[in-house]
Amino acid sequence: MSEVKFRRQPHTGPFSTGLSLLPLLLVSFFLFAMPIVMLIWGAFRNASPGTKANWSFDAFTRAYTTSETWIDFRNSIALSLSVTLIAVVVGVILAFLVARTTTPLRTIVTPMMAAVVALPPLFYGISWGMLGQKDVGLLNTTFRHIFGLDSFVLFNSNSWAGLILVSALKGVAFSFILLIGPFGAMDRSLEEASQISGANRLTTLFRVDLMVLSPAIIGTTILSIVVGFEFFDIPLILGTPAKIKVFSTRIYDMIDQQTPADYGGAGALSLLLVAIVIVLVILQWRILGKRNFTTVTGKTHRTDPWDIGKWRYAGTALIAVYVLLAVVLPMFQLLLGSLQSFFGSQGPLSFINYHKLFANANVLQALWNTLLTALVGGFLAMVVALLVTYAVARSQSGWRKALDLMGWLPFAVPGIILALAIAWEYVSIPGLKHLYGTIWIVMLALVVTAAPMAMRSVQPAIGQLARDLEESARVSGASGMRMMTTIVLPLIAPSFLSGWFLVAILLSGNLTIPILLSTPTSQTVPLVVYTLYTQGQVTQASALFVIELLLLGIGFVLAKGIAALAARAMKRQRDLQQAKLMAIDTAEPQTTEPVALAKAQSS
Amino acid sequence: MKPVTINGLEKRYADGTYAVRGIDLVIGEGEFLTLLGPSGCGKTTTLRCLAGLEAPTGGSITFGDQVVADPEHNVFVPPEKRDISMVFQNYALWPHMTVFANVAYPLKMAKVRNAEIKDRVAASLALVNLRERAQQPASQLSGGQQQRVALARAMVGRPSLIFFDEPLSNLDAKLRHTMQEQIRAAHESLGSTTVYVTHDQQEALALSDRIVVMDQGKILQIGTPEELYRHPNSHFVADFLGYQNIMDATVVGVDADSYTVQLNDSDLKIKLQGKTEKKVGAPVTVAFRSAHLRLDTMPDEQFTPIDAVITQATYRGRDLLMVLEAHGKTLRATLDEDEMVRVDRSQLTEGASITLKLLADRVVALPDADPDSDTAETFESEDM
Repeated sequence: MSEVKFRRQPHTGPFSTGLSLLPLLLVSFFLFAMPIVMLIWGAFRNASPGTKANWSFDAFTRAYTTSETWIDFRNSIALSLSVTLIAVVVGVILAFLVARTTTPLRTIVTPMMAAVVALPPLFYGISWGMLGQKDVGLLNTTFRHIFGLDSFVLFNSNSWAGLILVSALKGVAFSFILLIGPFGAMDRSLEEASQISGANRLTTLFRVDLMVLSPAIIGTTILSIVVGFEFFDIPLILGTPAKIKVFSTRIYDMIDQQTPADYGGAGALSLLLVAIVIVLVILQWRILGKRNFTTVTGKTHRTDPWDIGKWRYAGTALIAVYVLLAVVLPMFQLLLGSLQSFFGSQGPLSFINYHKLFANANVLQALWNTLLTALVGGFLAMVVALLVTYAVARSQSGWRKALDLMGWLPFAVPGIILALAIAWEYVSIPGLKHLYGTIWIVMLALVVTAAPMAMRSVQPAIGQLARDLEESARVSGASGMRMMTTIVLPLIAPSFLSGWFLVAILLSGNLTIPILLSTPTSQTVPLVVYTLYTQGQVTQASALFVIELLLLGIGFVLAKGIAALAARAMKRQRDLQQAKLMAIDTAEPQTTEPVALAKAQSS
Repeated sequence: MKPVTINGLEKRYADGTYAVRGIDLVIGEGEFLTLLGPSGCGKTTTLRCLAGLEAPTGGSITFGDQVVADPEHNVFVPPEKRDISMVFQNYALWPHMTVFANVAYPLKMAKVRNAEIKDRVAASLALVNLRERAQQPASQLSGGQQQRVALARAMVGRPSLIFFDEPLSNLDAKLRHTMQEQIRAAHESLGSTTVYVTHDQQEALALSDRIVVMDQGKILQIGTPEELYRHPNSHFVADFLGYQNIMDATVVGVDADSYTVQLNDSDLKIKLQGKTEKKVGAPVTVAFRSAHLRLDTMPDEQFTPIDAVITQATYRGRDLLMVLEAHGKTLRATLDEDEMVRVDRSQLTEGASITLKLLADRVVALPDADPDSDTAETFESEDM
């Protein structure tokens, strides 16, 4: 008999020992933790990257003693809270209508909300910027035309009202997606027990439903506030002309709109925002972790939906108004704008803008860059996410907690700050410097941004992957690597592919990363759209965005198709071991999946 | 304290499938009635229609003299107006409330004064021995405790009707037994009419005044526990109530107070006690429990001796289960502890021959199944 080597820690899988985690830990540290370290370092360094350091607290005193800072801070709070108020109230009403009532049109709400969440905030910024333009915006011209008025302004997007309303359109979708899971999963017998006890439907709604769902509602409120603090695209496009600045746009201004750029000050302000976001995220986790009331019952009855009588028409009206404001009007305006020779033109429509775009080498380069960064960056993000999630789920080493935490770190850092932090990292570390200014740094930053979303998309698949499938492979004589390639990868491939497409869609609409990290040769479509729009080439910006949306649409359809395949594969697997899964709590915390999605979009 | 009358109850879903298909039943005042049947038999749907959690699509339900559901006349009283209470399978305690608040809820809805609520909740919790847990969050209790809270909540409003929807199926065997006693005690003390749903025949037998056996949305048999246990009226009911030996036979001899049948495809003849209207040559289905095959009988008991070969013997602690080959038939017999000690165990191994006595007065002749009914077909398919 040959000698068997004994290990203290049994080596049962690819990541089961501390040492086997090391490469993954290093990569994660470099990708997720290092930028934050560099951000702190930069805030004390007080010099633009590449120049001589000047260590001091000056940046902090300079940034925090300016009265402007606190005005912008108050603006951020006001924007975040008012958007959250609208988003949560409307989100709760819509989730209730969809989950529990017979309201006509309720079936279109969920798919539509998913689309609104996936649409880049840049889309809302420019389409509503056009719709609510006070002189030639479609809303105002149509209103004047109908009522024969001369100079009346119904709605001006470049105002507080515009900023809040347009941000709220996205906010409603975000909170709806978070709420619909818990609303649908709530144990119906809790309602039934209340009715049997003599409470009518309305009393039951307030005393039982809303109370039982309160952790989900509070959690959604906190996340919505977080997202509100991180809004960047919409305040940049709608707020700047109205001289309304929020914290994130101010940080951007300090680097991009100021000479010399105040890197130290921007870093110092960023740290406050990161701290606020981390506190809020931890608060949300604690609330959701401790008081998860929504239990899924083991026994399901076909519960009749609640017939709310005439109120359902009010519900239908709410849904219709939302569809109009969030999908129909902006899409129409964008399409119309792309066919006009100049914005607001009454002349004949033409494809002149599209011709101009395709004749522009910069635009073609940007399209190529976007495709490259979205697909390759999305793929890399998924690979990292898969390895990290798998290692966290299967490793017995104490280091897996560090790995888990690092993977979620980008979640707490607003996009514009992440871009700043990554700029610091790549300029300051020798050997990485030559990446600066290339498309690769943009892609790397996008990978980091996408990581939390990517992790969310593979987590359910890995969670449902029964461990004994892997163990039986090992018992059958497969090595750890062999097991990964023959068992694990084939089983999660569908989820991986659909996650990849979703991440790619999000990355292709990202403005915050390229706006700080791109150089003229490494621009992406969102950046070109933004640049054209701010230069007054509004119609060309619209046309380019229409092209982008077409590409997104193709990606979305592909992702949906693959997701459907994935669901089928999962169902087959579930049927095979139904009995076992009954024992395991399969109720994944669904609430967090779309969080990352919306999060990746919001900043 | 209210009689319940169910007339032609039907529940049809939008996809055309029936959950309940024509239930007629009168539940007496203060009666403990159990709906018994396998999953999908319509027992839970019937209960949910009684509670008003589901609206029937046909027939009517009357509590006392009040019609609570009659779709043909557009009558439907919502659950909160029915003055009922219910214990759910998964307890359905509100996780955001304390134990006290859960139990107090029905009283609050009935606008009972606060002082009285306090006393009645305390009394109700005392009945289930959970008084000291009153201020804990309901979600922190164990499954058994949660179900006791649910029972207290169902009792506190002193409703005239209490419904139980498989309340014990999530509990372990020992807890089930004590909870059974508490449920029966609650029924006695409140004097309310109780409708109880279960798929467990032992539970049904132990708790009920009357049992309704259901299958495929219809009632198969109604009777007291003893009637059902001793005189099942069909193959399905016999099988469901634990008759392990059910066989087709033919009448071969009729006497004044007994008759003899011969099992089909076998030379085994069995003597049955009682009169029969069947003529010689008529087909009949006979059923008996494994425990009715004995080693010995009382001196004056009538029996049929059966010679058999043991093909399988399984020691189960309280008894020994044997599979036997006898006269070309497969039979199942159990010997209890007392019988086992009287025999040399080496005689009870596989391959050994044994002579057992089948108690004549325990063998049941099942009435002919109606050849037109749906259930008749399933009997055949379930036959081994």
